[in-house]
Amino acid sequence: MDKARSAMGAIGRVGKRLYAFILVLVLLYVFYLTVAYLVMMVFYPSPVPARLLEWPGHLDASSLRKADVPGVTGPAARAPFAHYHQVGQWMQFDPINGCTISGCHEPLPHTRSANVRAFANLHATFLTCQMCHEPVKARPVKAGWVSTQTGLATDAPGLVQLMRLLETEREPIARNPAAYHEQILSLLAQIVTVSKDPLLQYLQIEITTTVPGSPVWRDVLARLTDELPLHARGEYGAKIAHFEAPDDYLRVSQHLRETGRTFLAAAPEAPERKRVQDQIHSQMQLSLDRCTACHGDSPPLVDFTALGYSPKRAAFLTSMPTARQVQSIREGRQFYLPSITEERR
Amino acid sequence: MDSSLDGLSWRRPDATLGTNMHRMSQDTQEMKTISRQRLAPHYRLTAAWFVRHVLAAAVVVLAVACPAAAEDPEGCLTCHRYQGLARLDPRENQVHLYYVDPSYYDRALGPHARLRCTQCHERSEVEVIPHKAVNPVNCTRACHVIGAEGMEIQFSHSGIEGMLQGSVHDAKALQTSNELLGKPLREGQSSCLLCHDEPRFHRGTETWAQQAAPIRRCNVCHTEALPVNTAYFYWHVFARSRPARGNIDTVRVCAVCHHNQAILQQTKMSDAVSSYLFSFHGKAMLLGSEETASCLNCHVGEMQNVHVMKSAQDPNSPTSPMQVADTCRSPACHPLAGAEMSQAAVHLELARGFGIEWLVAVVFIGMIVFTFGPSLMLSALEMLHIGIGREDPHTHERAKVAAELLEHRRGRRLLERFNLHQRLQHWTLVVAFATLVVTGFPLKFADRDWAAWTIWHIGGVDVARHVHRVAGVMLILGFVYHMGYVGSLIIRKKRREGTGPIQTIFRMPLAVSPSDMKEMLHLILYLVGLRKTRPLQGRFSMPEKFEYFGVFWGTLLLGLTGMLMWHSDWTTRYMSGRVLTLAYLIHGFEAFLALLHVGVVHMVSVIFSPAVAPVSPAMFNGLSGPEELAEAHPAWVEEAKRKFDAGQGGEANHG
Repeated sequence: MDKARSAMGAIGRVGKRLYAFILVLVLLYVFYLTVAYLVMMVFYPSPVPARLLEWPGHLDASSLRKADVPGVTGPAARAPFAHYHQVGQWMQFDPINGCTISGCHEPLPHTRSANVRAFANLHATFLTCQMCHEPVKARPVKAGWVSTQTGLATDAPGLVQLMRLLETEREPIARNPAAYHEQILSLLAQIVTVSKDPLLQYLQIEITTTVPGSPVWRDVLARLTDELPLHARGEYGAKIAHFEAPDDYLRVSQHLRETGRTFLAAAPEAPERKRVQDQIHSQMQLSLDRCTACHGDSPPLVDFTALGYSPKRAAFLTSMPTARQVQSIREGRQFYLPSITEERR
Repeated sequence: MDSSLDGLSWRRPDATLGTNMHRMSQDTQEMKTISRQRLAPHYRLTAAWFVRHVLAAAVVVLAVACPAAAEDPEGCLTCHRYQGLARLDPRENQVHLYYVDPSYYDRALGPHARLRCTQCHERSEVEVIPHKAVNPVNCTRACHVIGAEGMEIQFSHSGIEGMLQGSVHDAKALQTSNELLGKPLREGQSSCLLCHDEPRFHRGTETWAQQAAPIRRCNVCHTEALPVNTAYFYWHVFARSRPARGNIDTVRVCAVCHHNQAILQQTKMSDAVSSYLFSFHGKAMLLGSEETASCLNCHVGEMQNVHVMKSAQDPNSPTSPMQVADTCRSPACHPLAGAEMSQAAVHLELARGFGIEWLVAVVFIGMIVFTFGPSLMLSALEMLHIGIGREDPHTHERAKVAAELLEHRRGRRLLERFNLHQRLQHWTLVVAFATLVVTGFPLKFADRDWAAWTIWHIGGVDVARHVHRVAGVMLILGFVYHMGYVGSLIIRKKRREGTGPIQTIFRMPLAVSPSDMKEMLHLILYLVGLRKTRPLQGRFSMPEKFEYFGVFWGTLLLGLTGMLMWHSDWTTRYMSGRVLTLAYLIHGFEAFLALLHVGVVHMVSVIFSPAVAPVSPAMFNGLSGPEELAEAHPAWVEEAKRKFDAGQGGEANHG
């Protein structure tokens, strides 16, 4: 007992001394900070906080690898100068994608075909590269959603699920709102986490604070039904990938990341480089044949209903006439916007 | 896009709960109707024309009908609503965005929400896909705004061009700025974009929940029978009744050029942003104040247009010597101030040498370094002694004596260091000082993130300012209490012993005497290892006396300068505005000095030091612990022991 007490006493004394030494260091550091601050204040101009200077003169490639771009997204955002239109939420970034994380490709990788590169890039924010660049063995391809956080297979995003629910279960919801209230809220919470849209956040609060089935609740639900499609543009927190096992995308991405890094580490003219490049690209089709593969062909490359889309949305995506036009642009034909809703002088 | 379209509706039958989105639908329908009426019937019916237009018609009909399409009559947002509609130019390492936020149009977030894309973008260039964009948007071209009644109103910004020509921001200046900024604008793009992006209604701090209530109230009457896009018009009127931008946004816009080193060097201008941020206005702006002055409040006169901004040398400029006093005293700012208010530094540049202001700053820095420095070194040496385990050989023995005395009531009275009055004064000081620090230092360090966080949690700059003033008054009242207490002691001494006030003051326990200097030297020698024993300090050691005088002097100085700033209108009626600048500097430096002494040196000695851990009880019961007494006040212990043995003492402790 005495030994234990004396041991505790010794530990206490050592602790006290150690603490005293730490205090000495803290005091000296405070003195250094004080002098540095005072000298800076009087002999140098006042620092201007970064939030006043984060103005986007140009957006460079690094901005594509960020979830947010300071100055462009966020509360006091400003549009990139030459772009003029405010951006609001930045495009979805995929930190798992081996093709881009390796450094071989940019997150918006399509640069060659001037006519359709932006259309192709649009898809890169919500499709994995393999969806278009892996040879198709059977139609429809086995596809699902993978989380952009974990790279693992996941359920359809809250946005897709809720759009489907509100479309297909309209009558049951109208009859028995209480039974769906929690499910709607849960899906909406998922959407808000990804989207951060203030109006969606407001609708979430409104639904949370209203009685299911009340006139206000129904009104909010109607507004939500109108609002959700506006966010079906890559604000998912997930991407469409084709896979057999839940971790296929993660595994392939890790492999591509490592192989890509080996490629970049080799000298430009080294045979190793060519070998690695061939090894990766030989398994891929470098360019997709047609936009209509997904948007127009029957059967389409992807079964949108199986991905969780509502029948209406799936039908729209399958028969998407815009895609047919983009296809015709790819084939070198110009396309004029119609004038039926326009005055033409 | 109404979800009630296909039969079963979520919405209750009462249509008065229509939303802004649905109002926008009405506008869109109106626009479509107008467009249809104006269709020119002179198309040549060729086969190519037929195929192309039938196909294209299908695109738009489906695009408009699809649930995902946004509310734009030309269907541009069908594609442009995707953030990923962009490309990277690898040669220039530049991202070309083609994204347009659809919510801007759907939620009527700004005045341009009423414009169609082709009002700005050349129709012939964008009606073909791929777009053949050649001519950048010209902001001065006339556009056609669709009004509430479905009528077109022609509008143009062309007048702005003329205004700018006579201002400091003329075409040449803007072009030079673009070049020096690294050409963020492409060749031919409108230089308006250097300051302006997509205009949005400035909604202040309102949340969507707060915004919705008044719009819904409008919608009670504005139903289908009286159709108006209530959301748009509410925000239009509301936003137009106050500045188009918040203060931080305004400064951000100006900082693009006025903090850019290349531009400053070329134009030989000073860094207006940096100097503004040193001033009170700049700091309040950083903390979110919308009431404080930002760039435009001073540089654009009342009833003037921001685009006719003049140089301070121009007599028409609100910052010219002729007008600056009136600018400061505008009804919205300091209407009751004296004309001298304009002499207060709005752009404060100590780094450039600012006369007496710079001198004051340098003097204070010297004071801080040469008072806080030695105090901190003494504290550090004390900690070092604890760390290496060195102590006065008599300390242990004295601690035993002190502990024995503290066991007796009479002994405790003899060793009491602070009586109830003194402890009350101390706690008044503690509460006032802590409040002043919490509400005042965020302003001093306004450029740090923690400052904005603190002010936000306090409830904003205005709340912080009011609380700061209340705490300041409390500090002054505490000081008055202390002076009253000292005065009562002087009177009592005079009555009892017949001693004069000066004599009494110099005999007070906290008065500095020549023996204190000797003790101080002794302490330093002991702490650096040149003496084996500590000095025989009495009830108050020299460092404690020094702290007391620091608080005494600091309270006077802080109180005086604080009052001058609080009553700035009065100050500038009788004194130069530079007095305010000096008061602002002195208040900040003195507060910083006080914080260092109290927050670092004092806190270490009474709370954080292992010698008193967990906290010195002196300000709770008036008594220090035996170890603390033996180490820092050995003469006080010995005197108490002597009195105790002699049977003296036990009366209340005064002084």
